[in-house]
Amino acid sequence: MAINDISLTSGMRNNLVSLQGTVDLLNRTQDRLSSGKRVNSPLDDPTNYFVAKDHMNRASDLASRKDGMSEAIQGVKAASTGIDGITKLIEAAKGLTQSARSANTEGRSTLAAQFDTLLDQIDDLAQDSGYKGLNLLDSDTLTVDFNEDGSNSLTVTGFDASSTGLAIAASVNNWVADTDIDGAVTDLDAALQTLRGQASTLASNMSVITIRQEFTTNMISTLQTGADKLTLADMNEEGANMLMLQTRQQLATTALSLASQAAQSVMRLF
Amino acid sequence: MMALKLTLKPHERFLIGGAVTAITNGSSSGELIIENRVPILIREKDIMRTQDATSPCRKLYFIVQLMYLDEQNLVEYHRTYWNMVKDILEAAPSTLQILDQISEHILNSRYYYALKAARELIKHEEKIMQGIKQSEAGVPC
Repeated sequence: MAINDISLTSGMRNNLVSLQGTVDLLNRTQDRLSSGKRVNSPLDDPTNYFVAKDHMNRASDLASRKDGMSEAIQGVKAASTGIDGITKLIEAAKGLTQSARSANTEGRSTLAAQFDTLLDQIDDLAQDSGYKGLNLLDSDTLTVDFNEDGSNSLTVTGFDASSTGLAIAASVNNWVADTDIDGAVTDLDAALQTLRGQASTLASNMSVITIRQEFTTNMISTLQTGADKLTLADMNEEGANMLMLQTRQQLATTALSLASQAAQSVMRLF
Repeated sequence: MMALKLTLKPHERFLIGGAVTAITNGSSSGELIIENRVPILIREKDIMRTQDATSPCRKLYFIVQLMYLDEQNLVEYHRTYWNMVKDILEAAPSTLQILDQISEHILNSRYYYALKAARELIKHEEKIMQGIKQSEAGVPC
């Protein structure tokens, strides 16, 4: 591409002109930094030094907040794994009811006994789906604080995922009559419905916590990197850097390209 | 959550309740009180138009604004936001405090306040850019 194929907007042109003017300045700043003349020790610049220290402290506060979120995610994961397991057991139980329809009385009685065993397994699984003493499948409630004073938090409400909680009755009459089996099928379908609803609620809670956890991680690393650099802060150097960043961004992205289609249509109204 | 009270000028436009509605105030001025937390509320004077998002900090404001009016794509906007924060912080470490405030508001879904803080950031940016223009005339060493 020939050089005159590149067209610059007036904004970019202005930036480039200013940039040329700041190259000198940057070089001088660089000299000062490398020669060590610039203030960057706590003794020389106590204000910046202690501000930086404040930021490090805040980063560690955030880290403990993040720990809470990580624990919560583990708790929700345990519950969601539990739900998957229980769903499989219920599907197995439904399989038993299907086999029972074509079985003789003796066969039905055996299948009914197996059905009851599955219900016991559901109860065991629901009991064992806890994480560090918190079990969302045993009606425990989990509160995740996103900030220190707890004014912004998320409460995940558990439910009873045992066979009793899911209202699945034990087999009746050794499944002698078809209506006995019908009753079991109705219970199982309702239980599956409940589990699906709970699973989707858990999933959306999980994504809320995960988004915030990730955001907090970024906040921590920003504070740490920033605090390290703060003692080197130099107004002139910052101005020059910012100008370069502006030019770099202008060549790379337009503001509108950052927006989704839906947001773009709204932005066009203004 | 405290109520948010806004005084609207005649014919002032604002966004409320998602990326779908833009409401224009009538001919007289009015007051709008938001009792609960609405996902979206931006007034005309607070809207950063695409053509005005020219500097790094203005672009950052723009991204926060997008989080505010388009929560559906939050994850994507968060990613862009952090890339921008890193660039800005790299260029000008003195922005750290305000960047932290903005982030804290975003984390708490208080976008209205996040935008307010972002406006401070733009002012700060103007100040350091101003410094460049002055030092071009004569750099104190």
